[in-house]
Amino acid sequence: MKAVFGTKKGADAFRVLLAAVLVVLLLASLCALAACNKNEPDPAKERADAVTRLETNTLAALGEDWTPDVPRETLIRMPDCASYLEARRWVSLVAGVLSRSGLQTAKISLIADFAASEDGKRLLSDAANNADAVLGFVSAVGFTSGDVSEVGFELLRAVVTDVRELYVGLAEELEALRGSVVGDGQADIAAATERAERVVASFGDEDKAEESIADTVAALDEAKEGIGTLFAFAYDAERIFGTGESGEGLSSVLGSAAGGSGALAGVSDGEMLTWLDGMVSGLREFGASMTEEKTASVKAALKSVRECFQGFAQPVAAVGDAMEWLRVAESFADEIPTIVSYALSACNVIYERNAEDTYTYDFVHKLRLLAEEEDEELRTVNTYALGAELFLSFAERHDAAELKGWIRDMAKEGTGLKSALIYAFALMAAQAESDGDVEVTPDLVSMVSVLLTEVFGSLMDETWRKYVLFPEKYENRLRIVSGLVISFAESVNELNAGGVQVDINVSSSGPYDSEWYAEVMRIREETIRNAGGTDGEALADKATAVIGEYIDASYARIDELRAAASVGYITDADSAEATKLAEEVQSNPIFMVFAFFFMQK
Amino acid sequence: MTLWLALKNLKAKPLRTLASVLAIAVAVAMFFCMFSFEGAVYEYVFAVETADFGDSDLMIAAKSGGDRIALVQPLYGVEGVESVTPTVSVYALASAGEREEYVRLRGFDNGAVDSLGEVRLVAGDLSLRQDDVIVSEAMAEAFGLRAGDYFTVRGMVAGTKPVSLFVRGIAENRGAFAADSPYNVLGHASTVGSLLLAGGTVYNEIFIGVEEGADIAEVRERVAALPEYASLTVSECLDGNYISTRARNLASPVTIAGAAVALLSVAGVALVFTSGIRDRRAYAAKLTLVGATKKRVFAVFCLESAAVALVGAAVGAALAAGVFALMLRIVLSSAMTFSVNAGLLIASLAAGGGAAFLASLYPLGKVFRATARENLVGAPERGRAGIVLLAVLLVVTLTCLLVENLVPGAKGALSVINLLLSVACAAAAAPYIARFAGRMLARTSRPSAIAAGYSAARERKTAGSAQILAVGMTVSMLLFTAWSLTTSIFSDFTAEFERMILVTNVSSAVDTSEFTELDGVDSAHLMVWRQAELSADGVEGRSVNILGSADALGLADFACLTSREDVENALAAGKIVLDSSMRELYGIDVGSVVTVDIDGAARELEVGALVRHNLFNGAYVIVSEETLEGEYGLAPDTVVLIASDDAAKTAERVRSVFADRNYYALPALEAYEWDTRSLENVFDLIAALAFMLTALAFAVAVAGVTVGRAYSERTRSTLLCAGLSKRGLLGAELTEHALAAASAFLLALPVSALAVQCLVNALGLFGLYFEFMYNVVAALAAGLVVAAAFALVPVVFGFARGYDMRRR
Repeated sequence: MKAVFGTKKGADAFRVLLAAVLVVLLLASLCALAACNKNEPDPAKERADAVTRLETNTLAALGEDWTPDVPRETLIRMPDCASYLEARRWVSLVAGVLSRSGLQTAKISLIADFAASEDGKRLLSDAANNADAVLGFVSAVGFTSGDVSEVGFELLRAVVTDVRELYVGLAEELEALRGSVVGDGQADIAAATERAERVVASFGDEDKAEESIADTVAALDEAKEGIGTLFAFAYDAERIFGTGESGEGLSSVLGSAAGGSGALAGVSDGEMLTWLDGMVSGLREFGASMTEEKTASVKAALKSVRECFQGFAQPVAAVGDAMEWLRVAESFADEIPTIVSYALSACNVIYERNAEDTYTYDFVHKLRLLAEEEDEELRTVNTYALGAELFLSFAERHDAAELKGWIRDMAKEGTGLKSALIYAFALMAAQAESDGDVEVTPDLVSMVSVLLTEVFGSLMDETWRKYVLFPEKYENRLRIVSGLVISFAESVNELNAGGVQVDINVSSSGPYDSEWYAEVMRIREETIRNAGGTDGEALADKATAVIGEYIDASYARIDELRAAASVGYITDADSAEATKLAEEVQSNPIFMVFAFFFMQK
Repeated sequence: MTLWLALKNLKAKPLRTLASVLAIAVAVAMFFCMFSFEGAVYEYVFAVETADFGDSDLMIAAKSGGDRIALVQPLYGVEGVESVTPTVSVYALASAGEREEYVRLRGFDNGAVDSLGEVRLVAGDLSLRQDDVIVSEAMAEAFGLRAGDYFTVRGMVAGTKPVSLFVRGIAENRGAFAADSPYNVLGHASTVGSLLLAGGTVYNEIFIGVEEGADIAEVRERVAALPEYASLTVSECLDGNYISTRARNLASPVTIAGAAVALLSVAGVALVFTSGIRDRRAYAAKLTLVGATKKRVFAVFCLESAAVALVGAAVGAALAAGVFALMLRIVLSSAMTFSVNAGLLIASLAAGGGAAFLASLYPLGKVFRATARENLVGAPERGRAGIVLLAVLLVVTLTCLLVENLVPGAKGALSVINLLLSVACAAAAAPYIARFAGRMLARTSRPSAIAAGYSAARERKTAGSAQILAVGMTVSMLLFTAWSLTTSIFSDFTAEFERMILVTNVSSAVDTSEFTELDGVDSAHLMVWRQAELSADGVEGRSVNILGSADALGLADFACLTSREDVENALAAGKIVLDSSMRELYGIDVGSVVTVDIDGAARELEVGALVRHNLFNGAYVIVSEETLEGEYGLAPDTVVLIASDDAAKTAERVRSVFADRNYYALPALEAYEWDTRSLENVFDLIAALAFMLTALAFAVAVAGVTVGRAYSERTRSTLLCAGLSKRGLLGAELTEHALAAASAFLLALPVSALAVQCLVNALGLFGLYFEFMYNVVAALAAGLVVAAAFALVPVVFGFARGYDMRRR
């Protein structure tokens, strides 16, 4: 180094300089490390904060000055303290479900923010009483079908697991607070305490309830995937086809696709087909995923839920609406593969090809024109024309015998909504056939009995629930409705003299407790079975025969229907084509069904 | 013993050894960079260009006037189709905090976002919920997003509310995110598709993988023949020629510049050893006198050179990766990764080390030609070999230059050779000019000038310095001129693009007056704007940009070689208009018939006129809409807007006004951002190389001076004893240095102009054409700085402190 730098001094100076540079570099590195070591946020804390904010904002939306931690001194002075305590428990239950779910923390924050907004407050305040408002809220915050699938299932599970405990805890809490409440809250809390105790009592024996809950939870866990799929599909369908708070409405979607705005403005027939194909593919995937095994497990789980909650007068109307929906789902779960298959067959008309094996686009073209149609008469006649094409496509793949066989299988179940629906159609068909009053035959009486019992049963469920919540107000109604059920049972026994009799061991006078209610429901179930006749098979055959005649009549007129529907899009409501189509609609029974499902707003 | 002698010799001259090692290290590192650079650039361009489709072979996408969404099912039955990856691609305005920017959303079935390209996460995971997305690091940084955050996007269906998307993961800017301009956001097809149309999931880009062994073109034909895809574009994903062309364009300037640096480094080694020739001769004589045979003496020198070469090569190998990484990061992207190819590294070691070894042995020829006595006393050689070499070089160079410029088609490889020959001529001539100038100076009356003149005429070091400086200054002037040339061309090029806005995803029936009615839009031109391949005699598959409208003449200031009217008539007659560089490079002229392949459809078209502009480096074809429609069935799909003011603000306005139509409006400079940025970086790298080379040349010259001065110490002592003052002696050294610098400068200036001409011609090898431009100011500045710095070396390095009358 001396040789290079000439002198010892130079070498020393170089060493000092090198050391200084190294020290500076070291310091700079340390500073950089320190700067990089920023405080990273704690995900768990962020999530907990988001959930807390959600609870706070939701309670604030439900009640003025409601917060998650109202102090006792304030609580005892609140005029609606009981409602507050009940709402707080429900909000906590829902918040717990959201917290444990896979929902993004940021989404929970967004929900919390939305709950604080005017729209959110409006929807939340309706949500307790209106399942559609719940769906509207869920859709507004941007829940995907995957979210609904997961959170919906977990919420159902939580309700099954915790709702009894919720009301047990509430009753205890209210009882403990009862003596301390002052002012207007006194009457509220007294009534609420008793109501909570009745709600708990409506669940029945504690041990049996716990066992029932455990079985139900096990069944739910078994059917988790199926139920989730069902929820997701229903949510998507509601968003596409629904017209309330929750749905866009197919016509508005079609309108935007066919109209003059948006990224697919001026959509072509090919694009319309591609878009419809997307929806049909979704339906196909849903059908493929709901296998026989899966639908069976779903049905079993939902049945278990229904039985677990039978007699339980849960107070939240939206939960009641959801339970009713689940009852419908339970009834028709095992028909999903068939319904989907039939729907896909009908939708095959979209893919019609010509001799050159290219798409004709006839159906999609008419659908586009229909979406843009403003004349009501033309809209109606062309809707029937499209309905005819759907039926023709269906009929090419499924003959009358197959359809009748399916209906018969449904009718043979004998109980529940499914058979009630079959009998309702049979009665409608019979009425449509006759010029005046329908001849009252024992078979028709049986069908009416089943229907009425089903109707009375639903009415009975609703009345019982309301009685538990508000006994003074609904006691009289409970007496009347239970009286109808019991009287009807007695009438069926008379009609069935010599056959199987329903054991009627309670009266409409009460006492009105959970055992009494359970007995009334037993009487109702057995009456439905007996109302079907000792030979349930015969009634199913009769109903199928009635409906079958109309199926045969519909299939017999396929050629005429094809001719009437082949004229293309009708642009003159008074034209011969329109008249011919109208005649065909009136004479072809299938349009009765079509009108029932598709012609209502 | 022999090895010991060689190592002792190296230790005895540490400065020379260090200078040689460094020069070899630089040579090895630069050789490695030059061998590897184009490959690395190709890989980078390949990664960027294939980021969207990965290994897919075919793509189905919308075309103007056709359907905008596509069925998927029919593809599964097509022979030769192995895999089908449907996606939906939507442009949307993303907002997070204060920032709002156009992004591109891509939706994949079941959220399989890595099905087309690698997604390497730095945060989060890939288990996406329906409204989860993956964004790039660049986007996360720009928007201030972390994993778990959300941002909103406005859907394309008019009236729909903004949709919140949740960041599930942040990925590196590679693989699927290699081409991230605009920012890519990857998510579920159901969510992204809902921004386009509610209801079922729709797809507008479908990627197809063809079976191993199947003919891609045949499968493409089969798919295109399906009626479901009649109104869509079915094209091959990978345009190998386009990628090669782009890579070549990026790599070529650096390859040439780097090669110059590498060769100079090798030359520097030779010069360093040459400058110590006297010492070597004396050493050889001493060894001979003590009984060493020539063979033994040769072995000592060989070992010495080999040791220096090996150490230099090892240091160079260690440096190579770092230098290579630095070059790639400067030119391409900070996200660029690369691998060191062991084979190329070994080749670089061999090339650099071997060339340095041979260069260091070059001076030994003189050692073994002279006798021991001559070597001992250091008798100057009187051979004419140098003059003969100079004469031969001049004749060869002149001949080659004449052939290059007068014989058609001779440019290209010959230009490269002529460039090297020109520099070699400068190197060969410099010593003679320095000596001549020295003799002239020796006739003056000033003592210091006389001393300087004698020294220059007789001493090897001045001639050596002049030689090194001549080469260094020539290449330095060449690079600085090339830098100013390319940056000025680039500035003109970007200036043309500054006011241009590209609006894609438009319908061929769009009314351009909708755009001109907007504030800030001067004009709107509806045209076809896409890539194509041009083939003709002498060129195969040259990637070009189609400017598909007669209106394209209004986009930039095209210089018409005949008249504007001729050009317009040619377009109206269904002919095409090319850039005049096509004539220079490939001999394509008016009347030539060329083949233009657009998306697999090849048509022969006649060249109707030539124009001149640097747009796309001349790689463009102007053709009328009618011709495109008639020949290819192509409808216009892009509106090019010329903004009257700020293009970015105008583009923003266009996006806002047409937010519901999924238009993609972007200033042209942004649309080609990565190209322009890469080119800018290339030019900056050339500048860096120029500075580096200048410094290297200066360092080598100074090293040569330092080594050479050791032998003239006696002369300086003698002069001092003879009465020359220290000041006078310093003045003599200053004059000597100035003479060497001036000689080199006078040679370098004209030779560099010639070299620039050769460089411009050599770029034709890479399909690049530039008109000759010589920035005299840049060349003068570069040369004068080096000359001045070298002239002042005696003062700066304090030579006067070492003056001593005592003879050592």
